[in-house]
Amino acid sequence: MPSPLVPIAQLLTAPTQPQIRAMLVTLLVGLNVPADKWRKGGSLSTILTVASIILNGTAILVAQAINGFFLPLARGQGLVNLAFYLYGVTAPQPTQATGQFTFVNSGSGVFAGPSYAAGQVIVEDPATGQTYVTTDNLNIGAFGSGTASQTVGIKCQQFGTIGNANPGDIDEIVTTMVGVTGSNPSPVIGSDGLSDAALRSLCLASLGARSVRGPRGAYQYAIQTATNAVTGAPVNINRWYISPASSSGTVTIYLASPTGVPDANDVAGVIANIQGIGGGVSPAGIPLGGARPGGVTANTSAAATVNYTGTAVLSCSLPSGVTQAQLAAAAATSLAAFMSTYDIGGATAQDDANPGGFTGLLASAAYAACASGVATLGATFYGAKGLTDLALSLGQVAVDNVTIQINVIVTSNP
Amino acid sequence: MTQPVDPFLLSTPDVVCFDDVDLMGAECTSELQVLEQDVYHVLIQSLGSNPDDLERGIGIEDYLSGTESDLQALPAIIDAQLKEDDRIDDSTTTVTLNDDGSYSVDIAISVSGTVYNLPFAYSNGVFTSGNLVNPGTAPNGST
Repeated sequence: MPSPLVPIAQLLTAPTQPQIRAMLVTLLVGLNVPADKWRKGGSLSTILTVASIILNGTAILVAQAINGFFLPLARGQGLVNLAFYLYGVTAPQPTQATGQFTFVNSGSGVFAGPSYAAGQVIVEDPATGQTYVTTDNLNIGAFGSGTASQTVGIKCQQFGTIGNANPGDIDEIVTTMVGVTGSNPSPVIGSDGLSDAALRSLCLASLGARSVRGPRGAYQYAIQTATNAVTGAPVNINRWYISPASSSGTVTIYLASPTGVPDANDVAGVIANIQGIGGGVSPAGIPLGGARPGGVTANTSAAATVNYTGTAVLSCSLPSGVTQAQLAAAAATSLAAFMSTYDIGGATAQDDANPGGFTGLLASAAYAACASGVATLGATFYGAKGLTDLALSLGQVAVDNVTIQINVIVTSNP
Repeated sequence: MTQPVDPFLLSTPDVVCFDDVDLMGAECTSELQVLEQDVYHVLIQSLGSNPDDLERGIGIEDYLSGTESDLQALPAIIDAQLKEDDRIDDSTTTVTLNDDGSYSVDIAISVSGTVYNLPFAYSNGVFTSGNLVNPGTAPNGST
């Protein structure tokens, strides 16, 4: 009679160091070696503890190695290797935070030419020390000239969400530009490398990419493996909507970046990947892109942004050594991070508060993100008001444009 | 004739291990010897460095090569650590700077009403124990 199924994860759980030490003690006592009486900190006891630490490390390594053969269990670098060697998927890398910066010249200088071309001017977020380089050519005229103000693209010099910044946070110009000030008018946001869960999803989607019938996974794979049509860098797109079925002969796809609207050349890269233009094959021989089968029309476009505005008034305690401005910044950062990953088209709620159903961005979710932000500074969150639910339709993505206000609550029993 | 009574009852011997394990794997022959090497290890190990007992350890070489305030704080730190040992009733430590620049660290521990003097030295960046181990008999300087 076969044994009942035991999950692999349970079979491959490495014993902890204390468990291994206890096993060793039991074994030694069984051999009439009084290991249970060895004084804590003594030489023999220490040797036993060190041995159990080494055995624990070995057990973990063995468990990880075996887990690395199973997609649901593989983690970290083991998962990256599994993705590459078995699924032919190269794990996407983190992207640089991108956004815009507005220069304002109140002096008589003119800033144009090679010294101010794309990639030459550096600006900084003084709070985080992160620096950003311009991605467009500057052509700033003197004060009063009509071109004294110019908004250009910027990207962080480091990869990942470490370069994320709220509006106005980037307000120092590192490059010498006398008489010029500026700041970022909108959030600057990038993305980290894929989480393990996302990489597993991409691996499964890669199976769809092998089909000639255009399953949704094939489109997802084409989006996630696309590169910018101009730079060749991985696209900075972290959200997508793929219509449920292509039985009508048409597949509709919307794309969004962490800031909302993706770079036009990123969208072009995705379209090329979906259409299979210049797709080629992966090192494992898996066709890249080409998700759209013959006879199907794939309409791919950037999601339309909808500003989520209003003032969130957060009632919370003020921990010692923390300012209201710091609390507001923490809440704003958390809210921006939440909204940078919020689904295109929003979520649908159908509960007591929304008996008829509501689709979009719920204010309660935004409050929760703010609450987790102030909690990082040790503040107690009591409640919030000021925001409203934002309805979203298919193809719309919410963009953070919320102002944070802190209402300090002082309790009689701190 | 009555045999002298060892104030320590040798219950579970440890392996002889001062700076290294005895080449022949010999066991300590008295509980006092076990205690002496345990004291030595408490002195030389940094706090938290022994995974078997993360709450003990002094890292005496850091103090003896440290600042004046480190030196002044050292005796109290040693005594506080040794008093945590359930075999030691009391501890009094003296740190002396010698003419040649070396340090003498003298620790008087009280065990079951008997005081044992444990001498250590620090010279040229090396911390050493004095003539501590004398298996089966009381150590030098016992009073």
